[in-house]
Order: sequence, then structure tokens, then C-alpha cells
Amino acid sequence: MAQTDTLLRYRPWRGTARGPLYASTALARASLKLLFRRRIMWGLFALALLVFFFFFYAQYLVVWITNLLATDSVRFAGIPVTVRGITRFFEPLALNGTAHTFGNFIWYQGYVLVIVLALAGSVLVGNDFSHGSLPFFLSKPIGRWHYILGKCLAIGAVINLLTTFPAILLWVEAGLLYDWKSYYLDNFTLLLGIIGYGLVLTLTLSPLTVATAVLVRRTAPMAMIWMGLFVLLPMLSGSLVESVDDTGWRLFDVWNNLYLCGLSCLNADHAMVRPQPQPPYWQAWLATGAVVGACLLYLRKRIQAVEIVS
Amino acid sequence: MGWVSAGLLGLVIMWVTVMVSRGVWDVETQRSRLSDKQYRPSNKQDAKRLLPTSRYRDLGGGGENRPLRAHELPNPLNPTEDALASLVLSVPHAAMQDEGFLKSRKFMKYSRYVVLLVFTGFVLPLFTLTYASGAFGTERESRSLVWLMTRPIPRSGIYLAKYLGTLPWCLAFGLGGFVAVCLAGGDVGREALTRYWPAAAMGTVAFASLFHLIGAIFRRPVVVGLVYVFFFETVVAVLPGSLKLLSLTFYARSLMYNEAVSAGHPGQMLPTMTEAVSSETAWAVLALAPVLITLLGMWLFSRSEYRDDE
Amino acid sequence: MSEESKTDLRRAGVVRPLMNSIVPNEVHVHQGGSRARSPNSVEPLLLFEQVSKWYGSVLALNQVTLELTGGITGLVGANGAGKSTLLRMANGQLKPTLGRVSVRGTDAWDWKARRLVGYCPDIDAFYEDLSGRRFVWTMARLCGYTRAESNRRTEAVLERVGMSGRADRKLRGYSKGMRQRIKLAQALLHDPELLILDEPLSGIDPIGRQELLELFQALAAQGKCLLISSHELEALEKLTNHVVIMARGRIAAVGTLQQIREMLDDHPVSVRIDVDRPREVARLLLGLPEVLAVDVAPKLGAGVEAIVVKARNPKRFFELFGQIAVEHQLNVRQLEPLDESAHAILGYLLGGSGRT
Repeated sequence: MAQTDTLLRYRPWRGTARGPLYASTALARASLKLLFRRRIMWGLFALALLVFFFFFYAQYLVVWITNLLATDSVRFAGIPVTVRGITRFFEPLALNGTAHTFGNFIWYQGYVLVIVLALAGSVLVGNDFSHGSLPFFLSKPIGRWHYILGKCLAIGAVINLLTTFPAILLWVEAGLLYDWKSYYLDNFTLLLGIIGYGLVLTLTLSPLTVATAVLVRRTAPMAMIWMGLFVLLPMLSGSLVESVDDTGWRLFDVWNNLYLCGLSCLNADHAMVRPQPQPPYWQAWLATGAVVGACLLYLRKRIQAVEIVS
Repeated sequence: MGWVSAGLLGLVIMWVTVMVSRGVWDVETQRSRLSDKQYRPSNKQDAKRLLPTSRYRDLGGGGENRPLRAHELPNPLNPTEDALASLVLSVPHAAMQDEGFLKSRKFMKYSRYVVLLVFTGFVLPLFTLTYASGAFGTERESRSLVWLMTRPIPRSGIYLAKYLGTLPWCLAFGLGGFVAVCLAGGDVGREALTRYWPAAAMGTVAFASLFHLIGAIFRRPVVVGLVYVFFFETVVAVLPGSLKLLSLTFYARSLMYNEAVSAGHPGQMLPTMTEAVSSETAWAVLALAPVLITLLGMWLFSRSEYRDDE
Repeated sequence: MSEESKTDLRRAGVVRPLMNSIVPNEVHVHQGGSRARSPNSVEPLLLFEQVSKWYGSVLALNQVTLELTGGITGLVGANGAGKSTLLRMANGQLKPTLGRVSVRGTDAWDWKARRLVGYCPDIDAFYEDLSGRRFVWTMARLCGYTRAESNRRTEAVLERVGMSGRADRKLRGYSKGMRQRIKLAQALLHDPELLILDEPLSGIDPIGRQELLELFQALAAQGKCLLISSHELEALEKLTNHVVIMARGRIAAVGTLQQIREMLDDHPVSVRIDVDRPREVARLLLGLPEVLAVDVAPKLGAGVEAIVVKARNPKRFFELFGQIAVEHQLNVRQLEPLDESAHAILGYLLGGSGRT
């Protein structure tokens, strides 16, 4: 069998390895697959779609009613009904393709997003700790920040899938409902605003998700923290603002801060922001920045603790 | 998980303390909502200001009080009109003298915001969810359920024992949380505690049984439970019609409402609860639901396979 | 898919066994002669009757029939062969999709059957915050013993597995070997007739392994029936002569190692040999007494130079073929038994413990 040694020989791979940033994208891809393999994720996605379709059809409905009443007159119990009389029900949602339409949409999408993020945090980060898969990632030639970046990218993708992307679709739809040439030209800044809102959400919520998941790891306490942040704090801060008459209390409401940042990206009139009164935009930006900073500082502290204890 | 719960509870208690110490639910100390930013008297001060004596006094010097509005000006030239105006403007002060009214209003405001909104809408479901679903949820996450399943005990017994085992925790944080929140509320809180504790206890037991079942069925019970609590329970509670009969908190709230009404407090001050069912029905449902849900769970659990490699 | 429709499909031949077993479906394992069994008086300790198990569309266990009455039985198979599924069914963790599993006549799913069975799972998850002693004690309490009795039994089993002196640390800090011993201890608590041990030797150092093997032998000498799984035959061979070989969800062979070897000798195997100059090799091979037939142009694909040999007594055949290959400097690229069951068994008999 003298020939066989010529058949099998080692040929080293001659390519150059790409930088660790590519590893982060690979990590993000793998994380997304992990998340979307779960049925519960699709259930939550369906809930998010429900909100989207409500806005999608309601926006259409408002235009349809307006057009219909321009030609026909509707009488209700003998009284002619004005367009405003009917579309007034939709006014709190501002379904007219303005800054508040997209702001409101993302605000309502937040209810689903919170639960999705609690799930994502425990599946993508908590499981790595509790199932001991962290050493697999960290044994690769990537830094710990690259690991965190990868996870943040995956969470950011989910956030944008639920908020920015459908909001852009609403913007496109609004353009088609009105005169598209003038709408798209006049409201191009709105598109940039939506993207800006998405960016703020991504940059804030991804590190926040990773940080809380690193902190508590399991789904149950993770859900408690998220619900505390996004349900309890708004409840409490809202009632404090009303009773104590200091808008500063509203800055405890993280989701409201993000909403204000988003609306300032969308260049919305501050006096029109619901619920009133609201703190000025700059305070919301400051508070959001503080949250991001705190998360990054916490993560930095955790990263410096070298040992991985599963 | 314990310190997360304690933290959330602490937040609620802090909020209650701030609100109570500022007398937010007390009609006397509440600040009147006048557009004047500089002068914001409490209702009691304002009512006093509207009495004929102080109006006549203010007419002369003005003093530190706000200048009188047109309809508040004394009109000695037209005694009949002046007497009528004085009568009407004295109503607030008369109301302030009615101890029963003041107490009822304070109690009902406290019931509405602290007990019905924050406690039954947030603290109770979230705490019971995390502790009751954790009975099987944490065993599943740490894959240690196999040790119970290999013991020579009936599966339905394991289910029941787990339920009974988590019940003290749920009661400690559910009912214990209720006690803490009430004690933070001063006199009103103590009255709420004596009136509502049976409803809070029944609600805790019923929720615990439901979330224990969810924990035994689903792999991500917390997420399913969150969707149930923050979509089904909250949405259903505000919908008109009989769909709310499917919500467990509705029965707990009905019990509380009936308790408050039977103590002589005006039921209209709890506007969300005007369709409450009778106490007998609520008791029957809250007593039967845990039994039936637990029996169902025992039956389902004794038929299901446990696989840790799912 | 309902059970009925599965049965129908099988009758119609749609759901075929994944491969041909070389043993008949009826398998009896009698050992430890003291336990003579008369057909009606005592039910067999563990009985699998035509058991199949699907995980969704995956067939994990395929028409397994098995009867265990005593002694030590080794369960051997590659990863994913269905060993753990079989053991979990015996312990009532899983329900068979088709067929029946019973322990002394009681359905294994019934909790009463678990009184007779001690199970040592292959998973490595504990209540990590408990100490080893506390964990075993809790398991004893869950068996229904009083506190005093639980204490007594806990100390007894910890002594037995050699952990009584070091069981007070938290489980979190245990080595793999210590964890295995604790798992074994909890299985012994209620003194069960049948012990089911899933990979009890994995991750244990040689000294510990020897101690455990001695412990198993001692248990068997007490009249207990042990069913031990492993993916290496070599480890089990020191313990028992009696093995069940599993492959792809089926029982490929069962009996003593000698019996299996003899059975294999009588059972001709087809072997694919990828070699240059196939016709010349075929001529050489036909000269061997073991070779029954040679196909020089098998339908294996275009351009593949191979032959398929049908031979008796595979062990002898492989020896002779090796000699021929060296003598004639054959360029053998691949040698593969085509029969899957035979492949598995040969893998274990020749590869795993070829020296015996």
C-alpha cells in the first residue's frame, strides 16, 4: 500500500482570516436563526403584525371615508354627518401619514416588543450562560465586545423588524394614498426620522437587553425587570406627573423617553405629544443617553471579570 | 429572582408613599387644576376662598390670594343674585366638611389606582406568574425534572405537590405585596387591607393555579403568561360585553368592588367596575377555578411525557 | 399520525423496518439461573412487546421485543441508536407509540412500576445548590420513606457508592465521577429489583471505573437485574458476557458474545470492496472456501471499480482477505459490509474488542 500516503496529505488553508467583526455578524445570524426557530417567537410576531395591519388598514380607511364623504353625504338618524365626525375616532392615532402616525405606531408596537425582547434576552444571552455555550464563542479568536456586538446586532435586527421596517411600509402606504410625488418629496424627512427613531431604539434597547440578560439570565426575572421598566414605571411616573406636576418624573419611563427621542427625530411638534405634559426633548435625549451609558459601563465591568462561571 | 421582586415591590411602595404623603388622593389637599401657574391652592384653601366672608375680604385688599374671577366677585347691589352665587360657591366648602364624603373619595381613589390598577393589574399577576410558572419552568430550564419523574409517585401527585409548594411563595409575594402596599397607604391603606384581603388572597390562589398549568404545558411559560396577562387580561378588562367573564382579575375586582359598595362607598367612583358580578358568583368562580384548573393540570401532566432533549 | 394508521402503514409495508435484523424479533434474555421462570406464575421483570417510538417523523425505536429476567445485560450501540429511548421507556419516562412495555406485568408508565426500577439517567443536571447527601436524602423522601428511614437509606447507599465521606459539599463543585456516583446512589435508594443505568461509566477515570464495575457485580450477585448501556463494548465486556446490540432503533443482535459470533458465522455477509483490478481480485477471492459468490460489476455508480463479495464466517474471511491484500499488494480504497446490522455487530466485535 505504498501509494496510499500520496493520496492523503494535509494542505493548509491559504486564505486570510477576516476580522473579528465578521464573526460578530456570523454570531448575529446564528442568534437570529436560534430565535426564529421557536414557535413562540412567531406567535409574538403575529401579534406585532396585528398592530401593523390595524394601522395599515385604518390609514386606508380614513382616506376612504374622507373621499367618500366628499361626494356622498351620510345621514345618521337624519343628521348629516361630517367627515370629522367619523374620523374623529381615529384622531388620537393620527392616521394621516404625519410624524405622529409613525410615532404612535412604534409606541403601540412597544407592547409586543417588550415581550419579544424579554424572550430574546433569555434565549440569546441567558441560555449561553446557563447552558454553558459561552466558552464555545469565547474560545474563538474574537473579543468579548465582539460577542456582545453580535448579540446586539441580532436584537437590533429584531427591534427594527418589529418597528422601523413596518413604519417605513406605513410611510410608503401613506404616499400611495395621497399624491405620491408630492408626499414622498415633502415628507422625505419623515422617512429619515423613522430611520432615526429605529436607530435610537436599536442603540438603546440592544445594550439594555444584553445587560439585563447578563444580569439575571433566566426568563422569569428578566420578564419581571422588563415589565417593571415598561409597564410599572410608566404607570407610576404618569400618575406622579399628574399629581406632583413635575414633568421630570416622566423621565423614569424609558419607553416614553425613547418616544420623545423618536418624535424629535421625526421633527414633531412638542406641544402635540401625548400624554401632556412632557419633559423637553433634550431631557429625554439625556436620560436615554444615561441608560445606554449605564448599560455599557455594566457590560464593561462584567467583561473585565475574566472567569466564566456557568 | 427574589431581589427583583423585592425591587419592584419597593418601587410600588415608594410610589404609594409619595402619593399618600402628598395627599394626592385626598380631595382637601389636592391642588386645583386652574390654568394659573403661579397660584395653585389646595382644594380646601380654594373652597375657603370662595366662601362669602373671604370673597368680601378679598374684594378690598386682594392680599396673597388670586384676584377673583368675574363670577366670583361679590355683588352686594343685587342681593338675590349674590345670595344665590354665595350658595353655589359655598358648596365646595360644605363638601369639605362632610367627613364621610372625604373618606369615601380618598378610599375609592386609593382603591382605583393602587388596588385595582397597580396591584391587581400588575403586581399580583406578574408575581404569581413568575413564581407559579417557575415550579416547572425552572426545572425545565435546568433540566432537573427527571429526578422527580423517576420517583415512584404518581405524576398527578407531582403536579399537585408542586402547586402546593409554590403557593406559599405566591401568597408571600402576592398577598404579602398587597399587605405591604396597603400598609404604605396609611389609614386608607389599612381600611383597604381589611376590606380587600380575601379578594387578594383568592386572586392569588386562582392565578397561581392558572400559571402553574401554563408552566406545565409550555416550554416558555413566562412569555405565554405575559401575553395572557398584558394582552388578554388588560384588553378584556376594558372591553364591554361578557368577554370579561373569562378574565380572572375581573372576579377579584368584582369582589373588591362589592366589598367597597357594601361598606357604603359610592360605586360610581370605580367607573371601570360598574358591570361587576355579584359577590356570590365571584366567590364561586374564584373558589372553583383553582380546583378545576388544578384537576385539569393533574390530568394533562399525568399523560404527558417529559423529555429534556426537546 | 394516529396509532391505528401507523399500524396500517406497517401492515401495508410503507413503514418498513429500517434494516434487516439478523436476529428474530422474539428475544429472550435469561440469565442468573437461580431465577427459573415458569410461564404463568411470575411475570418477566422487564418486557418490551413490539415497541416502536416516533419522535415526530423520526423513528427512534423500531419494533423492539425484549425480555429481561435477571443478571447483568449490556446495551451497546452507537450514539443515536436508540439506547436512551429504550431505557427511558423501561423507566416510564416515555410512552411507546406502539406496543407495550411492562415491569413485572405492570405497565412501565404506571408509577407503581417505578417502585421496582432504579434509574440512573445520562443527563448531568442536578439541584446544584444541594449537597450530595441532601440530594440523595430528598430523593429518598420522595420515594415515600420517613425521615429516619431516609437517613438510614441515604447513609447506606452513599457508603455503597463510596461517597459517604465527601457528600457534604454542594453538587455544583462535584467532579464528573462524583456526580455519576451520586446518580447511582439515588437509583439504589429503594432497593429496586431492576437497575437501569444509562452510560454510568462515561467520564469516569480507570480506578473509579474498576470500583463501579465491582459494585455492579456485587449488585448482580445480590440477585438484582442490571441493564447497563454504553457505546463501547469493551467497557461492558469486563462486566458481562451478555449484550444487546442496537443499531438504528432496532435490536441488531442479542445473546452472549459467543452466541453472537457464532450467529454471525452462520450468517453470510455481503462486503463491498473498492479495489483496482476488480476482476483479478474476484478470481483470487473465489479461491477462498468462505466466499460464496462475487459480483464483479455491482451497480454502484459509473466509474466505480468495486466488487461485492458474499462470504460466510466473516471473521475468518477478513483475516484471509487481509493476507491476500498484503501478498498481492492490492490497492483497497474501501471495505464496507453492506448489511447494516452486520455492520454494527462487526463494528463492535472486530473494532471495539477485536482482540478477544
